Amino acid sequence: MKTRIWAYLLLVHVVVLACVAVLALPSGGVVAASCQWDCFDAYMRIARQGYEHAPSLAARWLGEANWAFFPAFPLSIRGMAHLTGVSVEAAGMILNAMLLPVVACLCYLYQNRKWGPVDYRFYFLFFFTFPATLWFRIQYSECMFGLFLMGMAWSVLNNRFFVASLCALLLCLTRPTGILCVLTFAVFYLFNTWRQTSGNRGGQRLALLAAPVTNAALLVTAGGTGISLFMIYLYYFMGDSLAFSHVQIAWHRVFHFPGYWAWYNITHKTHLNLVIAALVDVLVIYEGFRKKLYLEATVLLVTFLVASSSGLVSIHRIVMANPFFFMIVYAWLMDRRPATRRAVVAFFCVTLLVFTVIWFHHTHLLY
Amino acid sequence: MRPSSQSARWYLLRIVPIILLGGINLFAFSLRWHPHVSENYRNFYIRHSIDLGEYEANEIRGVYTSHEDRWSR
Repeated sequence: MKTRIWAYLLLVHVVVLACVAVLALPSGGVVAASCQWDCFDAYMRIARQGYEHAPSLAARWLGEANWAFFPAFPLSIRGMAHLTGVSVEAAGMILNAMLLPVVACLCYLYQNRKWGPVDYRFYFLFFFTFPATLWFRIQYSECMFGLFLMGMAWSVLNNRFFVASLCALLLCLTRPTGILCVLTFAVFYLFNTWRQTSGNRGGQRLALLAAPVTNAALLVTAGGTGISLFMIYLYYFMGDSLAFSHVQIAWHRVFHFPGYWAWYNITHKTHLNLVIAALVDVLVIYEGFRKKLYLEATVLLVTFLVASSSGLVSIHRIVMANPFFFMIVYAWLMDRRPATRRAVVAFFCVTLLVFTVIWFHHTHLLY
Repeated sequence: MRPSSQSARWYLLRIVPIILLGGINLFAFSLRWHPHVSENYRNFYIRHSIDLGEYEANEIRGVYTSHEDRWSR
């Protein structure tokens, strides 16, 4: 990527980060203000003290344990804190501030190749002011997840399966939903290869498919290894290899068919903001299919279906803070008139700042 | 890419890691059949046969006094 594109990208990133830092001044500074909820209760505890041996019996966290949080992000901030000497909260902020431009760059390269040409000036302005990038800046694992997801996507697009497999392994060590992305990528890759070899018959076609099947197997086993390493660790640490999944019951997360929890929230008139977020997710996923961004929309759809089957809490973050969500919204926006585009960017910019202030004030609206 | 033109070395370089990583996967997933946890943990977190209140009461009653102790019961 050219130097002037990098310079522009970094300029927009720094300006938005500076705005966020200014907004955090009344709340005690950006590092303290941004570390809320999972950051405070889970990631920072893991970074400082490691995983808990047993579930909590404290009233506030009764039955809960931090095994639900995968280790790549907290381990990274622990490493960064050791290297730099700053607090783990500051290390998380610095790490995400460093990773975010790389995520933006990979998104630009990927969308430019698959859907382009893309005007980098508008693209980066839109990317850094997109409201869901709030979770890319604060001490959450979304930025790292986005980095490995885009690393895998870009590597698969360029047929670099060793790099893609490494990204898949790290992706699945960052969040459990990573394995859904890896499986979707492998299936799409095989399906595309199957279609490309449609001119051949029988044994010849099978011979042509041998190499892609090997590549897909490497990708899937690498992704599975990410989860497996954490499972092995949990087994020898506290006795249950699936503790990251079993502990979800402490947050009242129970699997039901997709749509059950949305209906439950509507009928019980609770968390209606999450129902609205789920509806927006569905609309954007539908738009992704309409725009023929099939792989990207399928990754989001699979993630949405699995995540929403056990509850709607954080559904907006899980789906909207996925780089593919941003790409679909960008593709939708490009169909609109220039004046509408500018208005949407301005609206998103204000929304990001409002969300940031809401987050800093520790409200439950964005949990 | 021309899949048909791949050499034996190309396949070897991929199949060896697939076997190694596949082994790690199989080992990790085999562990799920042998959780090494207390009955109280098993009933609440795995079987969902008791509620959170009962789980808490069992823990507070001191039936399970330490983490290692839980494993042996």
